[in-house]
Amino acid sequence: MRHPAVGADRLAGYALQSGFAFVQHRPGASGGAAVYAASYSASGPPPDIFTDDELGLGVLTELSVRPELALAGSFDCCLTPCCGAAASLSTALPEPGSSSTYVRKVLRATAAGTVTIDASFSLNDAAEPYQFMLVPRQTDGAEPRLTKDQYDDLLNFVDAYHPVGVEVVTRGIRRFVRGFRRPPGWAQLPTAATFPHYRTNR
Amino acid sequence: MGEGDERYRQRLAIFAPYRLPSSATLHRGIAALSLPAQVGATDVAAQATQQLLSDVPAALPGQIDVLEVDSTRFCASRSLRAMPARLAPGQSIDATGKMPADETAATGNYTFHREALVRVDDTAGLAFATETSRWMILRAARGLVTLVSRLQALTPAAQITVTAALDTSLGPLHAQGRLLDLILSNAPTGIDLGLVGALAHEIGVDYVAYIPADDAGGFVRLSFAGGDDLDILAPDVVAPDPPSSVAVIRPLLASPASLILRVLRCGPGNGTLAATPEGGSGSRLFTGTALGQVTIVAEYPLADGSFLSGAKTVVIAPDTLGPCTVIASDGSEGVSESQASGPPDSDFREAYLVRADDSRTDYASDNARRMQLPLEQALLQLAALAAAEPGSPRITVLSAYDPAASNLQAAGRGLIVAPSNATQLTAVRLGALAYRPGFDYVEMRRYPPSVYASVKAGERFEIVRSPIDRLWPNARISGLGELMATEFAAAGPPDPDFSVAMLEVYTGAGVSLATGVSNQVQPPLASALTALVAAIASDGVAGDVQITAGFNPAATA
Repeated sequence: MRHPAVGADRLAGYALQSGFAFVQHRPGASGGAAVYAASYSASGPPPDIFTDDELGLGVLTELSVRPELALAGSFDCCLTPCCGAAASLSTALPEPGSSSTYVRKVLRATAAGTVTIDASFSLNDAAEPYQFMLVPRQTDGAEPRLTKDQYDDLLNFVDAYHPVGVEVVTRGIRRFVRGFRRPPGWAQLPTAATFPHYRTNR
Repeated sequence: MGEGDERYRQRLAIFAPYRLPSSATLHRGIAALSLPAQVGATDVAAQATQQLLSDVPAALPGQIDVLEVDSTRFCASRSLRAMPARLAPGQSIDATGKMPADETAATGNYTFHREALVRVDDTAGLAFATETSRWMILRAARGLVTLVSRLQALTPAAQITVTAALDTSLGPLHAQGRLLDLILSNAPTGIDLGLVGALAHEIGVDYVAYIPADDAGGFVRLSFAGGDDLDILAPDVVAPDPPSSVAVIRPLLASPASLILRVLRCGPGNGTLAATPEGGSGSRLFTGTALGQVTIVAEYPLADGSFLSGAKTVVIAPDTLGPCTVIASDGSEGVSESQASGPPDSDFREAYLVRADDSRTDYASDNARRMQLPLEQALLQLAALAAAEPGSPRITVLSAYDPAASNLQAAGRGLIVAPSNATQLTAVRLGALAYRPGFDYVEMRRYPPSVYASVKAGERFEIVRSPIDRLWPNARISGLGELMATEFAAAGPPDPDFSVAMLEVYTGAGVSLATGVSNQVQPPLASALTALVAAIASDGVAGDVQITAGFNPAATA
């Protein structure tokens, strides 16, 4: 069979959703791509014992997200099999004109167990260059108290070990430094002027 | 520099030469160098040096932490249980899905007490070959009844017969009533022992094996880990008043007066147990005294000093909520919405809204359908609870997303819902139902009688599954989704008793036949074709499905 407004790939999808027992997409059929479909016999389909959270081995299922957030960003999807499970995740045939951000996936389990699918959508609004900040650790509300030695050690440490191309924002911890005579404009000083460099290039 | 040895050692430790600038290094180093200075400075320096030079995560947390300034990221996760549609003869599987399974590991250790055995009676679809095959531990009895119930839902005619259960001559698990051998009879085509094995795995039986046929034919073996010994009968949900009966119904206890029943609290729920007026020693009256959840625990002492035990979780929830009642999900009353459901989303955008379309629910306007996903999930649970009430009443969402609202409706996390028909369901009852599922805040309203309910912020999107939407060229797939299936494996072989009399003329709209193509089809094909036309039309696609080949007695595939 064919449809004047529906491609054979999509017509096959409609046939699957309509209760046919067997569907084949035949691109080389005489007269153009067509779909061959067969129904069950009068005894009906075989029993389907699975719930929406269960997946038969070898069965294909299409995964998508709802809602597809109409925002600029990037979408990722990954698979974590557990307890001996094995599965594969591939990309579904795209619908013409559909979002290129939300790529639909096809999941197929090949060994029993639990399969977890994780999806994430990033707004791609990270600072450039990539940053990390030094912040007070979440505790019961008590503010940190740092000695000037601790502050100097911290700044030397992050100066020496921050990854290449990554900016470290340390200004937020200056107010926790106690027990020394603060120079004028301590909060506004350039970071390099707030601590002695233990190592200097000669 | 006038500094002490420990301090100098610490400064040197900062520059240990082998350290890589990784996330773990940064976390460990920053924790070490910001330890609280509650002890002497020398002690802190020594501890900091030790942590700096260590390769393991920080032993003591520092006062300063690392925060990555990453992109705003929304995440969703979904777990699916992959399992076989049927077991093949010789296959075994444990509850986690491991195949082949180790029966000993799957069932674990169990301290057997003969007093823990229960007797199972015949029910629809369940029979026993002998009297001893009726005796088993409670966990096995529960698993067996659940399995029969699932099979009955598929085919009421089929019958499971337990051929062996408690039998000291058949091995240690049989001797403890933890192993059942089953056979199947009167099953229609497509229902066999392999399917029964898969069903048993699906309902959570700890070990399932399909023992292949020998001279006597095959059978399915179910093995169970230990579990509760005492079966407590109590309502799943009780109102604070009146008291509800709680009783141990299985196994039969020789000395019920020795039974110990108590309420175990975990959270705000609470209740009391009292003797029944008739003085039944195996039962008590439970009265909920605080909304929430409790566990009723039963223990029965045995002569050897050990106990049989059992537990039952009971939810204490109101039957109705009076007008103007305000209640949070933890049962606390008179709270504010922000205390119960949190503040509005600081980054809210209309893009976060979904369009609710539940068939059990009416919507007063299009905006009443618009809400964030966690609110829709709570609404679905409420619709299901309402539909389970007498008369299957419907509910109506009067309003949901409202950008001008001063409550969480402005962020799509609050809604107002009312009974669609007040003669079937009252607003005060609907309020009590709304308290049970996922709403975090429930507020009764009077004009009109309705319920305002809201939820905490949650996931922005969910992962959903569906059949394959588009099939790639040359792919073959069965109706159940199996890839590269053969036609006969998927649809069955040609009917052995086929005759032209089984055909009917297809007259449905939306289908056109190419010249020379027969319009005769079997009824199942007609149904599928009609469904196909309807599916295409429901997407607003115009045009007929064109059939280029149909019934042909000479066809081979």
